Amino acid sequence: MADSLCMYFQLHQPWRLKWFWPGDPYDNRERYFDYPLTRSIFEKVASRCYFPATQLLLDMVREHDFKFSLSITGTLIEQCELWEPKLIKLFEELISTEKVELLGETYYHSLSSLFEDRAEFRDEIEEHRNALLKLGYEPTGFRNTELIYNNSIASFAREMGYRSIMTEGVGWVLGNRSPNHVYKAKGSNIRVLPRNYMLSDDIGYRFSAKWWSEYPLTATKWAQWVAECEGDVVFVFIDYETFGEHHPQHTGILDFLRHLPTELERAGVSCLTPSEVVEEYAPVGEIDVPEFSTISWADSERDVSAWLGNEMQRMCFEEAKLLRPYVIESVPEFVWIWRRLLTSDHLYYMSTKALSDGDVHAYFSTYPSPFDAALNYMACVCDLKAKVFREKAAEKQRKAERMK
Amino acid sequence: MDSMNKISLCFYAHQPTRLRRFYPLEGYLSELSRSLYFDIAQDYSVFMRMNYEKALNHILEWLERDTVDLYVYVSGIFIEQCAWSPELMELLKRIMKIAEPVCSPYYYSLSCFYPLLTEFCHQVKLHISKIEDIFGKTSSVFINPHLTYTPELNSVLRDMGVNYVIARHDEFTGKQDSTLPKSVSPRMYEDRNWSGGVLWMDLASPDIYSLPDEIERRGVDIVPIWELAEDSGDRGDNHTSSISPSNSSKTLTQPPLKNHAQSLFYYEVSSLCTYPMSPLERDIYGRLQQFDILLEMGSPPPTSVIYTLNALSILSDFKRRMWR
Repeated sequence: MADSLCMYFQLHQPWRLKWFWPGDPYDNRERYFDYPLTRSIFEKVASRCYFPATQLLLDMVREHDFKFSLSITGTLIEQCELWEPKLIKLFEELISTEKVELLGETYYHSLSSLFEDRAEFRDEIEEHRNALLKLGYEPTGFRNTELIYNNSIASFAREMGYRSIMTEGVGWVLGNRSPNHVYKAKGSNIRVLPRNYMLSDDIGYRFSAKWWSEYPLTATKWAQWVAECEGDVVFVFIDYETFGEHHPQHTGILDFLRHLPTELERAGVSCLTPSEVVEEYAPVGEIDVPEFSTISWADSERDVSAWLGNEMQRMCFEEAKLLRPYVIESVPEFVWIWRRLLTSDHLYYMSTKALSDGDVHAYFSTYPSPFDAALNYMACVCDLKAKVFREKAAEKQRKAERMK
Repeated sequence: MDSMNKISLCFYAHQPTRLRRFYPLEGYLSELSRSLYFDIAQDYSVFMRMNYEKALNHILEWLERDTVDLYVYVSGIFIEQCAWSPELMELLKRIMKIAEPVCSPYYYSLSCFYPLLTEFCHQVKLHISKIEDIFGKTSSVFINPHLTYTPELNSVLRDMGVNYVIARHDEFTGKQDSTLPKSVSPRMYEDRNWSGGVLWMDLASPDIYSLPDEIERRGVDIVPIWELAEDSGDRGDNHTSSISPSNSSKTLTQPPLKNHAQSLFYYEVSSLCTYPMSPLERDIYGRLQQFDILLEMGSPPPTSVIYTLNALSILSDFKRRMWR
C-alpha cells in the first residue's frame, strides 16, 4: 500500500494575442499582445483562485505536515509582478515554510523541448531557474511543459542539473507496472516520477462532475483511495487553477483542499516533496520513451498532438521555431516578443480535435475557432519575422555607415 | 432592332500560377526562384487537362462560318502557359486575327485598389505589351478581376488607350464623359437577360458548344462593345443605372474580399508595392498578387486556413528577402 503522496500544482497564464492587424499603429510588444485581455483574465483567476488557494495552502502547511510543490511559469510570474505583486509575497511565504518546493521548467511554457537544437530549451530553463532564484528557491525537480517527455528530454534535464523529472503515467509506457513508484529514465540516471492520472483527474477533472458515480468527492474518500493504492508513492499533478477557477468555489473545492491534510494523516499517508521522494525511494525500473513516441499529459492521446496534431499547428510551429537564430541576434524587444509567441497555449488553441478533448481546448481558448487562432498567430509571427529582418538590414546599413 | 436585344460577346481564359506547399526551412536555405513558391507541375497538369483546344476549334469554326464581333480575354499567365501547347497557341493566334483582345492587370490582380496606381499601371501595360507581342493587336477594352472597378482608374486607363471597361455598374461610378472609358455590364450565360451587356464566358465552359444555338433562340444580336456603349449613351442614361447588373450569378454577387484572411493577405501584399525589386522579384511579386490566391482563401476551413497560412509563410519569406 502507498504510504506517501507527492503533489504538484501547475500555475500558468500565457500572454494573449491581439486580433492582429498589420496596419495598426502600435510598435513592439503592444503590437502583438492584448494587455487588457491578459490582465483581465489574470485578475479574474487571481481573485477566484490564486489568492484564496494560496492563502489556504499557506494556512495548511503552517497547521499540518502538509507538503507539496509548485510549478510556476515565467509568464505567470511576470503577470503577478505587473498586476498583483502581493501574490509573489504569498509564494515567497510558502517557500519560506520549507514545506513547498518549486519545480524547474521552461520560462515560457513553450515547446522548445521539441526543437531539434537544444539551445532554446537550455536558455528558457536557465531563465526560469533565475526567476525562481529571485523568489529564493533553487529547483532540483524538473517538469517540462505539459509533462512532455522522452528519453532525450530526461537526459537533458539531468545535464541541466535536475535530479528528478515529472511525466505522465502513460499506460503503454508503464506496461503492467504501477505509476506509484520512482523510476529511472533510460539513458540517464535522472529519477522519473509518473503522474497517477486517475487520482489526479478525480480532483482536476471530475471533482464537480455530477454525472460521476463517485460524486460528491470528499477529502475522506479520496485520501482513502490514495492509501489503498499499490506502490510506494502516489504522484498527483494538477492545474492550480483547479482550486477556484476550473472548479468554482461553490463546488466546495477549497473545502476539499482544506480537509485534505487531516484526512491524509488519518489514512496514514504522508506528504512528500519531489526531492524527499528521490531521497526516500529507489527506482524500481526504467522508463523508456523514444523521441518519436513523445508523451505528455494532454488529451486522450497523451502525446504532443494537442499542439502539433494538425497541419495548421505544425506550420505555425515551424515558422516560429525557425526564426530563432535571427531573433536572438536581434534587439531584445524582438526576443521578448518571440519567446512569448512560443508559449504552447497559442498552438493549443489551434487544435481541431472533437469530442471531449475538443471541449477542453475550446474552454481555454479566447478565439471563436481554432482557425482564427491559427490565422492570427501566423500573422503575428510573419509580421515579427519581417521586423527582425528589417532591423537586421538596418543594422547592417548602420555598420556600413560607421565604417565610412 | 431595339438596343435592348443587343449583346457583345467576350470569351475569357485564365489560369493562375498556383502556390505550392512551402516549408519555411527551404526558404532560409534556397535562392529565390519561381519554383520555390509556385507549383509549376500542378499548373501544367491542370492546363493540359482543360481541353481548351476543343473549345477554340469550335469557336474558330463558328467565326469562319458567321461574321461575329468577338472579344477575347486571355490573362498574362494564361498566355505564358500556352507555351506548353504550341497547337493551342496557334489556334489562339488565328482567333485573335478576327477577335478583339481585352486587357487586364497582367497577373490578374486587384492592384487597382492599392494606395498608389503604379503597380496597377505596370501590370496593365505589361499585359497590353504581351498581347501586342504575341497577337500583334492593341487592346481598347479592359476588365478587372471579379469585374470590379473604381473611378480612380479612368484617367490612367484612358492614357493607356482603353476606351471601354467591362464592369459591374454598381462599381462604375464614372459620369458620361467622352474623355473617360465607357462601361458595359457583364452578363453570364445563366442570366435570364443577356440584352444590353457583354456575355462573359469561360473558354472552358461546356456552354460554349450550345452558344450559337442559344443566341439564335434568344433572338439577340451580337454587336461590338462600342455600339452597346453608344446606345446606352444615346439614351442619355446614367451608366450606373442604365444597364443594371444581373443578380442571378454568384460570381457577380460575391465581394472580392469577404473574410479576414483575404483582407490580411491583400493588405500585406499591397504594402510591398513600392519596394525596389529585381526583375525576378518583380515577377514573383506579381504572381503573389493573383486574385486566385485571394479566392482560395474564401473557401471553407480548414482548407482555406491551411492555404492562407501557407500563403502568409511564402509572403513572409519573400518579404524578408526585400530587406537585404
